[in-house]
Amino acid sequence: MRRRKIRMDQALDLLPPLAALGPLRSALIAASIDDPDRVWTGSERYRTLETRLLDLAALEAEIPRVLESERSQAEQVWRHTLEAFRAVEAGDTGAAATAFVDAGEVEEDAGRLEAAEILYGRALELGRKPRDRQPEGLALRRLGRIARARGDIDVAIVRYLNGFQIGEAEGDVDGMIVACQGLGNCHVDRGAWGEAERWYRRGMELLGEGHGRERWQLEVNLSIVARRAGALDESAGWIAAAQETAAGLEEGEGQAILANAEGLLLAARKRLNEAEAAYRQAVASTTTPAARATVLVNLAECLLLQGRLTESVEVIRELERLAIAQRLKPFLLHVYLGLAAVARAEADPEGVIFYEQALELARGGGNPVDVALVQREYAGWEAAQGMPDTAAERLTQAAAIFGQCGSSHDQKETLRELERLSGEPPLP
Amino acid sequence: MAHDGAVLVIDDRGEVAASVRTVVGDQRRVRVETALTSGLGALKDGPWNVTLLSLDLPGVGPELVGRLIEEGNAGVVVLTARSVDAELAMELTRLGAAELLGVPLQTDLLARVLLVEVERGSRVPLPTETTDRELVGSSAQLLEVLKQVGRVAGSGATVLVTGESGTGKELIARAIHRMSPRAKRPFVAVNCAAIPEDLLESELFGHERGAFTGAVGRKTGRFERAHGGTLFLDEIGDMSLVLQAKILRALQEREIERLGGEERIKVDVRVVAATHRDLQALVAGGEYREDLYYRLAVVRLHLPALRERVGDLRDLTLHYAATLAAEHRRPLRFVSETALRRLDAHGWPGNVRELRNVLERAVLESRGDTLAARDIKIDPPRGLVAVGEILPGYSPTLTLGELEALHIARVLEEVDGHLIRAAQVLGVHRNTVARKAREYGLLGR
Repeated sequence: MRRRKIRMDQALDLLPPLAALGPLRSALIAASIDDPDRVWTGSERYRTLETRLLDLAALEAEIPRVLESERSQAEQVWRHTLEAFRAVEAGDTGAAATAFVDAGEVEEDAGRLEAAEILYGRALELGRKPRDRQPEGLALRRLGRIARARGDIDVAIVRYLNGFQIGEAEGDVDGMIVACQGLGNCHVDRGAWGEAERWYRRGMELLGEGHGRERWQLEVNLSIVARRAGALDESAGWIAAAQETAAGLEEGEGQAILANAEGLLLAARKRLNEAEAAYRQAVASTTTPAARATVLVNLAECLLLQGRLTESVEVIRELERLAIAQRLKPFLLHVYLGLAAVARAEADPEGVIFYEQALELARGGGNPVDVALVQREYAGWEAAQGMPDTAAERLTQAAAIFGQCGSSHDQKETLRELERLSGEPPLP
Repeated sequence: MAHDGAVLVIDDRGEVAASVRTVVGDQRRVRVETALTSGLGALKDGPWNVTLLSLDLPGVGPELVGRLIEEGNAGVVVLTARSVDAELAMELTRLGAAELLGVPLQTDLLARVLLVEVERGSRVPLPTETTDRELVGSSAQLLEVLKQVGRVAGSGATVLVTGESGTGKELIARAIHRMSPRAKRPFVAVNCAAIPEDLLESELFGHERGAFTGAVGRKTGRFERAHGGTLFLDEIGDMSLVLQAKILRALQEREIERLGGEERIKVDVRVVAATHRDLQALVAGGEYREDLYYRLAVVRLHLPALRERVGDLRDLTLHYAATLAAEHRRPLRFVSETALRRLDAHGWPGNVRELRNVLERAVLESRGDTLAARDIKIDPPRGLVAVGEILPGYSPTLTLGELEALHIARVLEEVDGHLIRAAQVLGVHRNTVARKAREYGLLGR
């Protein structure tokens, strides 16, 4: 029998679930290639992460790089831990807490949220000191960020709130501003626009006349909230303010983020041609792969809304290549949801392939809200394909997950869809 | 400003301009520029139907010629020169020049070239009415297949459609369904290679609620959904042996069971299967069940590759350019002859699917009312294994010499042993082809 390269789904199944092999797991994706046997076949357009082939030569070439990265990260965590011990030896538990926060950030950047949470938790214990609670506040804000990344919005809010209160007590204005950002973001996740706006505005008040990155980030966030709440003119005002603030800064990503925000606003106004132009400008201005990926998601959706399905798919596949090459795994979810949306627009029954791939990624990603979002989209497609029973099951599951995670806005939306599907009157 | 039918002569030899005027007479406008600079300026006033360009003018060479052809304003490009170098001739033809004529010009030859191009025009109009039909072409090869479709459609027999990737096997399956007594019932397609194995069984046969983790609700599979109609199993050569056994059982017993279910459900489907793989070779290699193969191949239809469908490439190009222009709301009305020639020079390993893909991108890139050569972007062949489809006999274990011999043999086969034509295809001198063919023992085959 001729040799055949291993498919990604086989490779991921074959890999034993050992912590030591964890870094190799993400290297597998970067070492994968499109299946050349599928070129020009009818199945090529349905290719997903799972159907890619493992290039063993590329994987082998990756090993030194991965090992070096792991070694470097481990060294940083150990050295921060050493700093923490030294600080405790010197009687400075505040410094020890900060050192553990630094260690946690290394783990968080590497995507190891559980490890990061443990380190931040240690920082919190050490930081609980009556005379100087700034490290405690810092640890709480980091823990809030972790909880939000996990989709645990209620827990995130409690942590950010505690972090804010401690900052207030300690006169740590910078810490309070960060907590305001975090709380605003959590309320955006919940769909509580009013509450989100309140916290962003509080952050702006604390900033006072200060300029800089914090100001334009808050302005951009306020524009997002206003847009989501339907106050499009207000949103435009905030974007203009952010543009003015950013103009005076050396902000590499600033132009890209602002152009992206403008694109989102234009899309909300249904001015899709102009939104497309803004997104393309944003793509041209990005300086990091993650920022580029963010804009490509929006550009693909914009093209889809215009009915330009071929071009939307081209952008999505570009996003896929970027996400794989740059190891931006969270964006792969958007890739397959995007392809699924195109399949839905074409009433293509093979769209199931993309929804299943997206579900697999969401389940492996650690944020249950992502699972719920995929289930909701999948349900919409199944309903359109004449499968109302399974669609209803998925919507029920999605609503439950949203409720558990505190995403009340999404839960309500999902329940409304369920009502529509069952033919009963919508919720008041 | 367009000059439909007009001829631009960029040549400082009065005899050339005079010959052109003699040939075209009053039928077409002729503009003469005796210097390259003014000639390039005149091109900007185009597009022109035909441009005669002297290779003997300073500054004229392959690079400029290639650029003018790409830009499209020159229309059909005919080159003139006092003496014709064979290698240069090949290079220029490869770039897209229609002809290279020696000066003094032979009037009959000039007339043949000029009037044909003038009459035909540098652009071919697209059909003004688009249709939904996708089985386009009038080649004998395609017509033979369609006649076979007509013969088998009404019978209800299982059909196995074979052919390279992208040849239109699904279109044939749909045609069989349309012409069958089941035309008013569902046509359900399944791409067996696209759907992951663990999902495929559920897609084909359906599942009951809770049959496996993630099995939310009862799902009706595609066999059931195709009941009374036609089930098209595409890429059936890419199925595991386990699933092959289940498909065979379904075909033999005309019953299926949903995953996690106990009820035997009767299904009445006409199966059309398709594959680009050599199923008989897979059977011989133990990768495919022989009993399933014979069950599927009751009737066999083979689709020719696009390169074998003589004359269909132009028809398909015009059809797709027109339908895609309408779909993407582009104001296209013509395809340039140079674009058609560029398309003609490609081997189309991806067949009609690749052609459609290239044309869709070209339509999206196009500006104005003409699809030009510059809009056509053809990717190089992807993947080593894909090479095997266009170069039978290819293997990654071949030496460079063996690979060269294989390719030269293939080219000579294509051009009926004509060494000059082979030299043009290979981009080398005729003498080089002759020497290598002798070396590899390819002459006299």
